[in-house]
Amino acid sequence: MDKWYMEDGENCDAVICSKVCLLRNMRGVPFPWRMNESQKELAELQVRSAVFDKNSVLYGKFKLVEMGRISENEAVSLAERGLADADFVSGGAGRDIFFNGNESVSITANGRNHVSIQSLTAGSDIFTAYEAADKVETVLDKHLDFAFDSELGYLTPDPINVGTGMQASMLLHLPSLTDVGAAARISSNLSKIGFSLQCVYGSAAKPRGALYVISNRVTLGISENEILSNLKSMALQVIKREREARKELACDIKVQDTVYRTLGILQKARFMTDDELFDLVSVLRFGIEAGIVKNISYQCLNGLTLQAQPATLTLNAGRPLTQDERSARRACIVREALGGAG
Amino acid sequence: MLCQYCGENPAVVYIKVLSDGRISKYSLCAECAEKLGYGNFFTEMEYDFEGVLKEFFGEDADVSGEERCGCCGASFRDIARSGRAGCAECYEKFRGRLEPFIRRIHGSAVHLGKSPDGSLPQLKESRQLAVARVKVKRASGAGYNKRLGTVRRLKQPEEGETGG
Repeated sequence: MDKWYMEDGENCDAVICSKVCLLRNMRGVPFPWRMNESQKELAELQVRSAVFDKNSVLYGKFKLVEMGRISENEAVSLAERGLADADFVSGGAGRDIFFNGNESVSITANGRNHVSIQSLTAGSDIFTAYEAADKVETVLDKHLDFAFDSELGYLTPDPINVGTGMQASMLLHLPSLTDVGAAARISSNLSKIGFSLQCVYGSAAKPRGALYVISNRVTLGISENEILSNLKSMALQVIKREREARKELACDIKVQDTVYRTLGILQKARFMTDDELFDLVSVLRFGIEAGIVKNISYQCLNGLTLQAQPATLTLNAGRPLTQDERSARRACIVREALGGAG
Repeated sequence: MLCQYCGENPAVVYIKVLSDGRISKYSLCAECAEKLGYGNFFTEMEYDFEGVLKEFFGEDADVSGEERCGCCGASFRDIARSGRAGCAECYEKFRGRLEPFIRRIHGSAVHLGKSPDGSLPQLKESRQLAVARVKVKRASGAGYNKRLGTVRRLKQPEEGETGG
């Protein structure tokens, strides 16, 4: 089965993916950070029985991974593939993760919240991501007594998430706005109206890879639909500006030269570190977005980026690898994916 | 411990990030955490937990005999220090203290989103009114007057009760 990132997505020339997380907690038991071992185990079993209920529409669709039974490398690979965050995968025993075949929907138990339902889609279709997460939440709600207050909505350990308990975000690639220095200004303006635009790597002053996450900050006093509509509308305004800035850059012969040189390195290199690949992929993605490079799809780029990440690469090799072996294998994966293209 | 990003202020937020196939841990001050997108409840509000504690307990707070949640045992001090509630019941126990912060961060303390099916008590009439007021406030332009009528109808019983 193709993974979610190998599918077509709307506005994928600037939006890599959309993500919705629904955070839920159970009534009558402490939140995970204050639970003892037996409370953790009980919550774990309750979530398992809800996901694996034979009468449920979820039955047979999710695979369970017990965090206490996997290696550190396998755990990190889960985070690299976007199935859970670094905090969850480093928590060890007492935590479970369930995910479906194309890895678009995952359910984590006993992370920062008792239950977190995450859904990913390629491109900007955040409503589809929400629908998938909401469907799972509605089923789990029938089995688990989710803590809800008629005034404060769904109750979470972090009061910044109460209300809808929903974190919605989009991963944007904004190389042109970064290049002209506008991304930091847009980020500052968005923060004044309840949104956050943060660079994923590096700092606001020195972003790396031109990857940004736009997300909602307000979760109370607003419906899920309004949050998603507002977020999408903001993201579309940002990417409109990216496309305008991109047009100018794409005409510059020096920029075109950089893109082609980058493609050359990616197609021929025999040794490539994770950091180098990260920087080069951002330039190549810009080349595709700007129409300079043709015949390479976003899906191909997404696939190779995920497969070439350190822990996932080691996991797929089936044995421990040294850093040099990883760099050699990474270059090989990239060559195979891009060989002869462009 | 000092913040690993600026090296100047004390670290109050601890984060884990992916780095070259491993999980790395970092300690950040409130300002850098907010700047890098790792803020928590109190850093979001530009508060440090000491500031929150002083706001509620004064400079020389006596920790003995402080109120604790019956479900998880957390005190408000524990919540302020960690930036997290201990359990769902903490919101009921410390509602008066938490609600102003929640209102400040969200601009509202009225849930307008999805509700669990069936098992829930319906909104109290006063809350129905609060929800309707928020909705009307937002309904600028066309349709405003129509919605206003709904609020007026809801408002009557409350006024009647006050008068009686």
